[in-house]
Amino acid sequence: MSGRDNDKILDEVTSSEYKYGFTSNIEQEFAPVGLDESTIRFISAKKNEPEWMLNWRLEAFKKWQQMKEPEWSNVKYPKIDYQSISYYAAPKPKEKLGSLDEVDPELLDTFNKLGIPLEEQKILAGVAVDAVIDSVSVKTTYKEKLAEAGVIFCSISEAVQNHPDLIKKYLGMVVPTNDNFFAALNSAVFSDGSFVYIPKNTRCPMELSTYFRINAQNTGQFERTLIVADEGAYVSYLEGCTAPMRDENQLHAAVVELVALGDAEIKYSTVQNWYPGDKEGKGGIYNFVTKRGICKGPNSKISWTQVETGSAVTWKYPSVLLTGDNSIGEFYSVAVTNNHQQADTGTKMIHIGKNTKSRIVSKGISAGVSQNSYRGLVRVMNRAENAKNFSQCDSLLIGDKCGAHTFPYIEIDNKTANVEHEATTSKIGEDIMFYCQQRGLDPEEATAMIVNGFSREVLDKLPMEFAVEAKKLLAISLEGSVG
Amino acid sequence: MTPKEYKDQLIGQYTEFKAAQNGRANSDFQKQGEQFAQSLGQLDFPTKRHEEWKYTTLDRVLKKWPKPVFKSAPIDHFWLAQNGISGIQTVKVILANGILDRFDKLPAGVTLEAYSLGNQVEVAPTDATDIFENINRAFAVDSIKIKVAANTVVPIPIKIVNVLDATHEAVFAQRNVEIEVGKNAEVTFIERQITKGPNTSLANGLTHIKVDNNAQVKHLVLQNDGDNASQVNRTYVDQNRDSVYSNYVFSLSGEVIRNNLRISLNAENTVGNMYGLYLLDGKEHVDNHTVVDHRLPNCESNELYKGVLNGYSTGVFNGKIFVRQDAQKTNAYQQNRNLLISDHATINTKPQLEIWADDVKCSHGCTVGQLDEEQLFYLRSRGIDTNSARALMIYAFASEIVEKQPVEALKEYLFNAISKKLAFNLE
Repeated sequence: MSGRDNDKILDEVTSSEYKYGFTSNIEQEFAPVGLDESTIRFISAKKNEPEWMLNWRLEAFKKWQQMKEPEWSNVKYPKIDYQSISYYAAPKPKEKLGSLDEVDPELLDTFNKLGIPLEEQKILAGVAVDAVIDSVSVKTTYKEKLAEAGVIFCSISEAVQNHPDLIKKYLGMVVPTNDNFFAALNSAVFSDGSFVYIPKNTRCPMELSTYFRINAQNTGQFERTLIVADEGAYVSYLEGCTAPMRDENQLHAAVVELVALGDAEIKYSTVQNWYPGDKEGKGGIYNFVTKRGICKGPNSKISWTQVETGSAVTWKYPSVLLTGDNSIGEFYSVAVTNNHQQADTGTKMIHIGKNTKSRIVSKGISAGVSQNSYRGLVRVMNRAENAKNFSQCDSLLIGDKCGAHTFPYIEIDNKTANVEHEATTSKIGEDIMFYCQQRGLDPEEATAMIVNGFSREVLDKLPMEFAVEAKKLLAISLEGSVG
Repeated sequence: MTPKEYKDQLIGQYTEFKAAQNGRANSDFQKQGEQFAQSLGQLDFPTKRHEEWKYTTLDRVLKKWPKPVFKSAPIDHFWLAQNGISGIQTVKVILANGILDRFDKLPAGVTLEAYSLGNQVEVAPTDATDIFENINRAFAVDSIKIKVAANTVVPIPIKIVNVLDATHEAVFAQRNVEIEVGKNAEVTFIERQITKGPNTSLANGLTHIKVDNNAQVKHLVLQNDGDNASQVNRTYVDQNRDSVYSNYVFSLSGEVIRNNLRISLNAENTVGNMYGLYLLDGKEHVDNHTVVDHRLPNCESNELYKGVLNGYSTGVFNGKIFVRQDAQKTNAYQQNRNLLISDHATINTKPQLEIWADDVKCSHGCTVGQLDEEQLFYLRSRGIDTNSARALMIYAFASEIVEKQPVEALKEYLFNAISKKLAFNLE
């Protein structure tokens, strides 16, 4: 392949468009810009929250004020002014939404454009959706059917009203309010998110899904997701996100907590496609998210799967605390960075119980002038007998101006531990490209195929509905980029 | 005694140190040293909050209040010979408390200069943000420079032995060595430290090695200095075109050992190799930090560090591979393998890749495990008792590194040291 072809193809990649960059003309109301105690009281009042919830937020805010923004990550971004963001934006409430007919048509249109199956016929596809726009859950579908199974799937604000016992018990259990700077901020100002509770010995009858969208300007999105799988329960949960194209950066600081009790299993999949900024690196979302699950009971399992293609800066480490004996933690990730995107992502597997297992498969693909880092921790505590871990981090570099970095921390305090880590970095082999081209594939198709093959191990872990979307996303993000 | 207090006292001792350097205070070496002493005020001993020192602390050594030594000590050469490595022919350069004591007749093409011999020794640039390098430069009494002329093939290894005298009190000594290997030269260095006396010793070593075009350097580091001996080592290697540098470090005994090895591949077609073996017991702590910096195309680096951890020991490994944007066609391999054989041993490892070039082949691997039960069973079914079978397997695990080192005559010494450590007689 000649250098000119390379340049041409790289040009095409960099010019490929972000197709979710539109804005919707929905009537919205905002919290005044800035953050102090009154903002939190405003949010809490808007949500009509009970006293204990407000206190919980205020406490988190106090802790946040004493914390410093962390700087250790391998990403660079200008300092965020936390006083210039609006911490609450919501579509103007009309009436309580009972059926889809009552949803603002502009909103429906938005979700149609995003290809989210909000409409009833699409729900027949078997996915229950909670749609969160800016800060507020606008519609949760298929509630009734889920209720039959005893599954609670609603926005977290509703859960605060209707299931205060569960919220009091589990909120902040895995990610305490003072866990880190962004988690504390989220705890103080989170405006909505999804809540899932699967009762004992119940297999959730359908895939649950949340679609997040930032629409308004100058706002931050701070959603909070809490999933509790009681003993013997199973749930598969999908999360997707998009945002309009804007010149300024927007902050997204979410917290996701998963609790798996004995014999329970939670499968959490993310396709993250926030606006990544334009090809000069202008605009885009700062995606600073705290995701953590706890395998609390014996034989429980938590599996994180993520496809990260969006955001200007991504900084997140979905983690699992393996407390229960025989529990299993998994992390499957494909992170694609292009243009000026930066990603510092990975996982933490903390082995605490006996016979715990974890598996990490991370595939990083960097193109353009982007930087892609894997940062992971595998810790085997002294009492975690017979812990097993296998980690694999592969990086693919496309173009000679991007970077791929690996920072795996391995801390082993028990001799029965069996830990293996391997990582490779390379470009797409010229021999492989040649082979494909020889058989009549053009370089673009060949690259798409190779990248797909490279990521297959992870993509295969995604539920059907998302796997299709994820494959398309990969193709768009890296169309024709040839090493 | 906190590290801070230790440092403050150290600064206070600089005047005493200067006075002891009778009359050469105006030399460049000492003038620079004084600047480094002054900047000590702004530096602190690293704590666990410092990323590079996340798992290692010298607190337990500093607590014993090792006193900085300003002068050489008489060496009992009979004692030294007894504690030396027998059956191996070397050219010895002996330092006492880091100060040149004596050296054998040097082979043709090899020259030695030392500050203590009246030479003006120029020290390579020092990392001013690093407290250990600052202390080294401030309190180093001597600096030794060994030059190997171009086209010289040195037939027998040059051994640099640093003897620390801890007979009467705990000591803190600086060692400063500069090595320059000319074009097409070939040489092997063996570096060893040996402490005399029952007290704590802490050696702070700073070594710069320049490897010129097409030269081949092999560098062995033997760390087998007893439970009271600690060391902090910085080794900087700069390689020129077509050169090969190989480092072999054997950490077999010591209280706290911290090795920083940095290889810069500054020109095309260079090869840097790093091999390490750490065999720990008791409360020993060994920390290997390695960096290989690929700056230009067509270079290769290989790294294999193996560790066996017994007792309450702690092992730390941090290997960094940097591949800069210009360093296309780089091959870089890194492996760290660990055996944990006690309930209380700990290993913290962090193999790290940072890559900015695309046409590269880089991989790293890291394992932590224990002896394979099936293999153990196999040996036992053939009549070997459990302890011997275990020792045999550990021995086999460790021997890979021993076999890699180039000095044939050292193998016996290393194997004996390993058997002794495993309390296992191979005869």
